Amino acid sequence: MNENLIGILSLGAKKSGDDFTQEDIDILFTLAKTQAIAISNAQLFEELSKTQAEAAQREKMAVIGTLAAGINHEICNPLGIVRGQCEMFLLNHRDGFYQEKTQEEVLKISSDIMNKVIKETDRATAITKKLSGFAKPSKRSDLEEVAVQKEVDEVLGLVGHDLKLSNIDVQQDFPTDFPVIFADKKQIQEVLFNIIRNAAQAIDKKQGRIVLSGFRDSGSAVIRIADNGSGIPKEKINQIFNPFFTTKAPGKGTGLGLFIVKQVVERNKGTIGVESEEGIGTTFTLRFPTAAHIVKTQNALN
Amino acid sequence: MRTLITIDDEVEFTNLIQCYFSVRGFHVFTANEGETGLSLVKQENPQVCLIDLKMPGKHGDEVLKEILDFNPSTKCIMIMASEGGGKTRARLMELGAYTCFDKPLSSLKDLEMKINEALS
Repeated sequence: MNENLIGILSLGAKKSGDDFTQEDIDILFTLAKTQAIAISNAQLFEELSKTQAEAAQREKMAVIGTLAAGINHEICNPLGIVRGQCEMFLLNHRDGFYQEKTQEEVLKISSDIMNKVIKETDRATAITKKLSGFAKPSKRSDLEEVAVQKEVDEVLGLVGHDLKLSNIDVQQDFPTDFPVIFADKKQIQEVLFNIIRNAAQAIDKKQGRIVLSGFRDSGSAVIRIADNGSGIPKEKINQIFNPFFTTKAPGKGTGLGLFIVKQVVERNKGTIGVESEEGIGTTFTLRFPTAAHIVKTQNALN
Repeated sequence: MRTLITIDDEVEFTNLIQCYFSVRGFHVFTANEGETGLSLVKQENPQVCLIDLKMPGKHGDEVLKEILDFNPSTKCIMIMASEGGGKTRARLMELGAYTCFDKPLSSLKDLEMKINEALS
């Protein structure tokens, strides 16, 4: 094809033992051509999905960059407390503030400090774990049972502080029996992360609000993420999932966020929809088949 | 007795400041958001305030302005995450801050020395 060798069609002898005729060769030639097209299409498709996966990873890393301030806070503050507690003990000791205390009292003070040190180190470790877990590229088809509420908590662990500083109140409303879904955990985190971050960026009011809620709808788990941000203009709402479409100021967004979100949702057998009203807010609705529903369908097929 | 008020949304930080300075002859009050901090300032009229720059609700620079409006002789020390950089520092100094410290604090001793210098 285009002078490139795609493959070799190898033929055995005819059942009848006759030689191949020109007519046979013409048919086989057409067959070989069709197969070559199919093979090169498959190769292109593979390359395309690789490029898309790379674009998704780049987008994710860009997004993590915007988180730096909040994460710096979440790691540096505990470290500052750890340092301060230790320094205080040493200086108090040096300056003779413990001289009149009994050995037991000093021991009590130092155990209190050590407990604080442990608590704060755990806090800093937790955020680094969340971050490295999130930054790792997701492997293909790492499907498992995912409890959405737990992933919401993970993502809020990363962005929660930034939201708090922007005076955005986050509310969660998931019923205790919210069904688990069958998906790639990391990809679900990515989706939630992108939508929550978009929501936060769309909020221009003094008192922002993001409400995450979920409910069961027969065989589906439905997740809603609603904000009271500026909303999406009617004439633009059909374009928001298009690649490179962005309403953000230049440099503020790559326009790939929601495009990738949609692909990732679909890769996990889900759907995504959006409703928005200018000046009121935007709601994204995600719908995934529940894990139980998938098992039931598979059993029925078997 | 010298009075110090620390305003920071990080509870562990205000606790640390309270523990450290209360044994060193300060009357220490803590607040974990701007509004509460301001009412404490108006009630106690402290000589020194430690103010976190980034807080939910009222930001540190607004708190700084209001404290200086209330009593211009208050020594206000701003505590800020280092990503703010020189520009933020310059702006805070222009607003009337006594000095700025990076967060996390590199040393309690340095902070103590600066506070003693401010009060001398």
